[in-house]
Amino acid sequence: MKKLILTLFINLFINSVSIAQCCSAGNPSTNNGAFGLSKNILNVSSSILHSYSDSYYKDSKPTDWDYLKNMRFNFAMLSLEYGITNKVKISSEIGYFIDKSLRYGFIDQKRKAFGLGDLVLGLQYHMYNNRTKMTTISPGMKVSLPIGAFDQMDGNVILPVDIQPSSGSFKLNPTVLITKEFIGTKLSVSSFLSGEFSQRINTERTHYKYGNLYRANLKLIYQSSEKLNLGIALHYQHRNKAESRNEIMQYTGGSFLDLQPSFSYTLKYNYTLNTFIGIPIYKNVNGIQLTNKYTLGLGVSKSFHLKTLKPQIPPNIL
Amino acid sequence: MKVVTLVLAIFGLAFLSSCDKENTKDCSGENPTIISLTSDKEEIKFGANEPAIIKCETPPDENLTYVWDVDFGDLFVINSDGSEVQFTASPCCMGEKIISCEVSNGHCKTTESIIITIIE
Repeated sequence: MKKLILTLFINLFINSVSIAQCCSAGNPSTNNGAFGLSKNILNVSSSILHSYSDSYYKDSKPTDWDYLKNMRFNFAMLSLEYGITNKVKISSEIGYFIDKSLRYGFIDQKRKAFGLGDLVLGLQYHMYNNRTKMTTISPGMKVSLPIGAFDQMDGNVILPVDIQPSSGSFKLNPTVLITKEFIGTKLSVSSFLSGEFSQRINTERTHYKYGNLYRANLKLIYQSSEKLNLGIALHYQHRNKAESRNEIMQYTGGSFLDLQPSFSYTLKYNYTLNTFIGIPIYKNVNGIQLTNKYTLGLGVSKSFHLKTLKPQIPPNIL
Repeated sequence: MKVVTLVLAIFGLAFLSSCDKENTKDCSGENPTIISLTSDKEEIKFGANEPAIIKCETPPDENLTYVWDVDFGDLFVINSDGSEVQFTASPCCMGEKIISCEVSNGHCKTTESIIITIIE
């Protein structure tokens, strides 16, 4: 049972998010890494993400460039994870932009979009488990399907690609999750590495390819009590420049480092509350770009054993 | 392992398949006419200081509606019937931008495009 608690804890607690920078549409990239979800266990989680961007950077320094005043989104997400076997887990993730909007600095106007984002399907394999060293390695693969809104309008104008709810592109995300626990301590460490490779969008409207995205997340987790877990993560991401009509878009992409404190608390009836905040501590963009100021995430999750349709952890032990 | 292979195969097919979202045009009447689509500038600097003003000229008709589109950049309607827009772009959007104006009379649609280049 204790193992299961830790499994769920790692699973839910590693949730963090990469916020789309300039010219990135679609779901915010989550790295919902998990390992060891046991056979027949279904984990359901629902979360809300809020992101706000209002500062322009030129290379690694703030600049007083004033084109967009701010850009923000509120994104509701539903995630399902299911253990096919003790070693193979499948997952799906779908989200809805309640409000994705930007406000201009030079004119009193704003643009607003809302609607379904992309559908993400994933597979993860629990490849390596060394009980002596308390180390696990779990590679995985995710694919994003652009099922959501990609042609939203504001009055007489079709919204540009970067504010549409869906990315409009298939994406492939190879991932690796490495976890390490320490004997006799309440500490554990996890590392999550991933890439994102997008298919070129070839439509009547646009010929566009998002820059490849590479992410690395290093997280330290402290189990404060049976119910409360605290975490702090460093999240690095690098996005290559995008391409439009076979030309490199010079002012896209860059490198970003965020600090992400988080906590997870187990409530009654096996519900778990998860929350985190993302604070940028380093930004180095190509050219001039609007950058993220902060990100907030709040979610609730619960696990079920599908064969019994009962919570896996009886409430009386909580 | 069969399940793994099957799921990977589905992922691969999904990723390799293309997804062109071209408009289908069902028309049961006369196409509206666009006399001209013009811009006061062929080239603008990124930022808000030098917007391009683009006009979609059509024969007088109160029933016409105008829909403007560009993949990256910002279009703002500046007159009451929607036939004129102002175009600006942030730094991300440098290069040639194809701006299209679609005119509809409720039955049929006509589209014209113009290229404006965003420079530094």
